[in-house]
Amino acid sequence: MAFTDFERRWIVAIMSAFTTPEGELTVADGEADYVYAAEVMAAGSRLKARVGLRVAVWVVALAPAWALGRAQTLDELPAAGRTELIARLLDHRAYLVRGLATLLKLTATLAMMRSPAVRARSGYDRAADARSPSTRRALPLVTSQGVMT
Amino acid sequence: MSDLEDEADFVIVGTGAGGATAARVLSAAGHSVVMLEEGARLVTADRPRDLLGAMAQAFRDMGTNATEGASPLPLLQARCVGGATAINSGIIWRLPDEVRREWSERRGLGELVDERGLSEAFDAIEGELEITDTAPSLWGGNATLMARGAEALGLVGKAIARNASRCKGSAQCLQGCPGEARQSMDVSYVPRAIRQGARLHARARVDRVRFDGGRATGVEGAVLDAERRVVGALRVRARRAVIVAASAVQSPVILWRSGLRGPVGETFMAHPGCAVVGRFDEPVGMGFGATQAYEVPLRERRMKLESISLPPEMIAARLPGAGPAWQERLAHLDHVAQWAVQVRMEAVGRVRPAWFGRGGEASVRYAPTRADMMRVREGVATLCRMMFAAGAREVYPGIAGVRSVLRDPSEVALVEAREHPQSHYSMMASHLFASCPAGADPATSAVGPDLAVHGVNGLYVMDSSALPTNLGVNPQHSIMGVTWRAAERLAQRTESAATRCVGAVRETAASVPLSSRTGAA
Repeated sequence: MAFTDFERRWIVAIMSAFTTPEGELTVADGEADYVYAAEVMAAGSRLKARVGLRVAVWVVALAPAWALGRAQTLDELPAAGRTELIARLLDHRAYLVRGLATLLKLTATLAMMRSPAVRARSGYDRAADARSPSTRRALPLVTSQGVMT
Repeated sequence: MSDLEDEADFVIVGTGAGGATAARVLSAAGHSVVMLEEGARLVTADRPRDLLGAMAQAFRDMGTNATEGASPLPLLQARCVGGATAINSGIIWRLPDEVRREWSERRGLGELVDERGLSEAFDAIEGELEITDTAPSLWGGNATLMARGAEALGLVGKAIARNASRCKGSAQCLQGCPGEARQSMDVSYVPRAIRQGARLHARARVDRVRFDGGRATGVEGAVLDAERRVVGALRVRARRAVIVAASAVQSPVILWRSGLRGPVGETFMAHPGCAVVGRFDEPVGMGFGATQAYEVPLRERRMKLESISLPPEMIAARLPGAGPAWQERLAHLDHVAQWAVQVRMEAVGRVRPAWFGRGGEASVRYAPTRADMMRVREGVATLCRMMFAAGAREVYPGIAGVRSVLRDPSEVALVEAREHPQSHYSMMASHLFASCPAGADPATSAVGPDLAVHGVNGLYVMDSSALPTNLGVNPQHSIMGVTWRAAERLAQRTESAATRCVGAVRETAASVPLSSRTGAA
């Protein structure tokens, strides 16, 4: 179930809109391969989930129409407007909308963190010895053999 | 086409905690064993470290399986040699004694879960799989902070016991332990069984069991390529017995596709849970330390709290919002901690083959009760309080309709202010049970006290589906211990039966003709 050209365009527009150029952790154009992540997700999922992913793309891409009453698709909105709308969908009162937007957010982060540069900027792998001494202090430890220190 | 035909005394479907343990015990007793695994055999060095690649390789359907209904509950399962043990955190808990007694007294499993016998099985497994409590040096910031939070609230926690005594704390259990320290089945009992003479066929999907005159004589299914396309037919003959150990979702589906009915798939249970994330001023370093190192068992409240370090992809998706606020949090993932609550739910669901599915594709109906959801709320609120007690600056409870960022302990009251439906939580379940429950009564159980399917000769179920109830603790050790006992007794019976020359398969008073219990002719 390959995505069409316009679905691919929508995928990039949606997933790149989770971040903005003004934010602290930015993702440069081409740094994250959102279409690849969506295709891997779709290829590895069973039919119902594959359909769900495609529905998610359509629901979010057409959100300007059904959520804002504008005859536009998401990729036709200005960048800030896309991000704002997506943030609204993530908190939407309807479980279906919220769930579909969250599925796309997870797919976006799967693509983003595949990039070593983006992952490095997230700080997740910052060296262990930079950790605060207070979190590394030895605590009394309760084990099946009793209390150790 | 590349058809697969083979034959052995015992044909084992699945290589997770149950199947691999059965293979280890039966091959050690000198029986010929064939293991069939739907997923691939993964080479540790080749396992992707990014989550997308890891999920594509080792997770069943990319982790997208879920229960049916308006509020789908994701069911996280593996599909690879080693099953869930190849992606879990290696947590070890012996079967809680009150659960053991309940199974013994109310399900007629006294011999199977005999205290001394089971204890000996656990001793043997713990020795072979290098079980140890996680040393404080491996806790990392995530678990250390959780201990601090528990201590502050007066909760009694402990180091998690795991099958990873040589753990280096790389926090990559989900992607496959890079140093093979975790003794998951793919690096322990499966290779051990092979050394003892067993054969393994990976990418071999079993669709159904074959019968002849009320006796299971083998299995049939499909051979798959790397893209999971069917490239051949599979037929494996069992001289003595077929052992289905394909998980609490797939085992009942295989039995259903084989024509078995009755209680099969009727009593599915689980330990669903969800996570709370917190942000700290001090660095946490979730990427350093054991994936799971600290836990707070609250058995009387039917829940367990655990530290859980996940890859950055999952943590990033769990942080609230989109845009600059999200990006600011994303730029400080080293300051984020995550802890989870798992609930021993009272809900009972149902497993059936999917309408248009093949092999083990299933339709699972499961809905937590109101009491279950109250426990989830209680667990989330407790975790939020622990986060603040440990020094969190922000806590993200992850409940729709509740403020997404809590900044003060008093705001935890917002979590407790009202009931939240399941659809408001980001829940998932990875501990699945009881879909082919064991018991003495064929009316309420799918398999008997020896884990043989009631009314069928030569067919056994040895995995979490045969456990009669959920446990309230991580299940892999209980699965291994119960399977060890059942496989050991099966090996002994088979040997003595062969010696008496009366056949290799058990006959019991409970046996009834297959045709009376199955839809199969």
